[in-house]
Amino acid sequence: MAKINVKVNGRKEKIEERASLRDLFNKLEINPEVAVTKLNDAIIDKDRYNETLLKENDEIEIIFFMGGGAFDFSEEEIERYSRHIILPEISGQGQQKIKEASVLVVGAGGLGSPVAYYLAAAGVGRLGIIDSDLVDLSNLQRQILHTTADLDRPKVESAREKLQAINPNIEIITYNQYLNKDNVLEIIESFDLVVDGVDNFPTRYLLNDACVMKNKPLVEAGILRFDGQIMTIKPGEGPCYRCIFTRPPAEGTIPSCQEAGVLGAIAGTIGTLQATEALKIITGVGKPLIGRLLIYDAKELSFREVEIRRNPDCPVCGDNPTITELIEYELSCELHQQTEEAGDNE
Amino acid sequence: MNKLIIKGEDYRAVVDYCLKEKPNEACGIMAGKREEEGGRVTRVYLMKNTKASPKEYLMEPEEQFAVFKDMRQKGLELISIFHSHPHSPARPSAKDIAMAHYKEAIYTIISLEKAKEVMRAFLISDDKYREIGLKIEE
Ligand SMILES: [Zn+2]
Ligand SMILES: [Zn+2]
Repeated sequence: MAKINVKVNGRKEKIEERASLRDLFNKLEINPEVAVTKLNDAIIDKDRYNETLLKENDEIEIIFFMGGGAFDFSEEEIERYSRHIILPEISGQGQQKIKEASVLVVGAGGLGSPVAYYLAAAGVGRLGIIDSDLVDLSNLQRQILHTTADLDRPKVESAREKLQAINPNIEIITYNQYLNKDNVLEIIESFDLVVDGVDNFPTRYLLNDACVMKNKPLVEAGILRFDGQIMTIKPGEGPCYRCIFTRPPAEGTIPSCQEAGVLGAIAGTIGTLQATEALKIITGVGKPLIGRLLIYDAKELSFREVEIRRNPDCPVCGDNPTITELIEYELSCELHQQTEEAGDNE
Repeated sequence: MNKLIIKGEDYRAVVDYCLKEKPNEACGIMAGKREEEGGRVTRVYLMKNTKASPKEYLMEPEEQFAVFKDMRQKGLELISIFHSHPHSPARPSAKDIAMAHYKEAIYTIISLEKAKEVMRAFLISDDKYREIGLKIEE
């Protein structure tokens, strides 16, 4: 095959006759996507590399894009998150995702406390906390965001103080109100992910339905006595809460925390798992608890998993949803937590 | 190249340009000669940041072509590509690493995060970076 002489960035190059610009790139192992090319002083459009054939003495100039961006963390943040950044699965990119993430923690109580603490410490850029309660003495056995000095203060105020003290770099948005069907859609709208730390039936169903409607991932959990359970709901990717428990149980069938009590540390175990799930979803690390209900038995110290499938007849996420507007159930102290045995998966 | 060698006046010209462009990122090219000790800068080209942004930079291709032409006429080699980080440390960002297409070049970053500027030099390849020495000669 005959060869011709061309000049590439001032250097002589021998290539085959009738070779195209594309052939030249292949020969020089250049990625045309990151380069700009001039042939005899005229910029050649990328679309024309194949059809542009080279001739003897052609002068080709190739430059690569010179660009980049700012480093996203201050020295203080690099030090603060160094134990994350050093993990190959997270690295600087994962920490950046955490920084850009926004999470709504519903309830600044037993579950919400560890969730909010760990998400704030992890550097979640925008953390929302919603709770309408005041700190009560009976809360302090498990709601570790609050101290004895906080009695009778709004929980969101007490929470903001503790979280900001742990991490002044993050933005904390508080809602001193009760989540209801009139405000839930608007509130969850501005967050990427929702963690339910309220643990009562009206809120659980309201959040489930709202998150399915708004397509927001929801980390759901409940605790009672010496037990806890947790599952992650990602609308479209797995079942929602109503896929298992179509509607709340009849009143009186299940005792509340108030009646039945709860070992305080269980809130820590399950809340910490919720925070872990949230961070996994944000960073894309690992396999979230989608389609799996994890049940914790503290007395035995055992965990078991119940596999759950999306129910095509689910009234909210099924193929023909019948619930298209939010429903608000009465907050009854009788309603608390159902197990998969108690559920009526019709 | 295991070191960036730059004259005091060139160093100051680069820093002054970065300060002038702040809050936006500034960028440019350092040319000179590859020596055994390292890359010796003898000429600095202050370039336009087409992004005009505090968070990213991109040089204008036509300006880049012109600089490479000028370098060739003067017998200079590409030593370093520099840019500023007006509000963050002098470390390559994910985007800096992804866009480090000149494997042989030194990537120099000037941080203006603190009152006193910090200039650091890096080699970037295969999604990793390694810091190299910086020598300012008066
Ligand atoms: Zn940069
Ligand atoms: Zn469902």
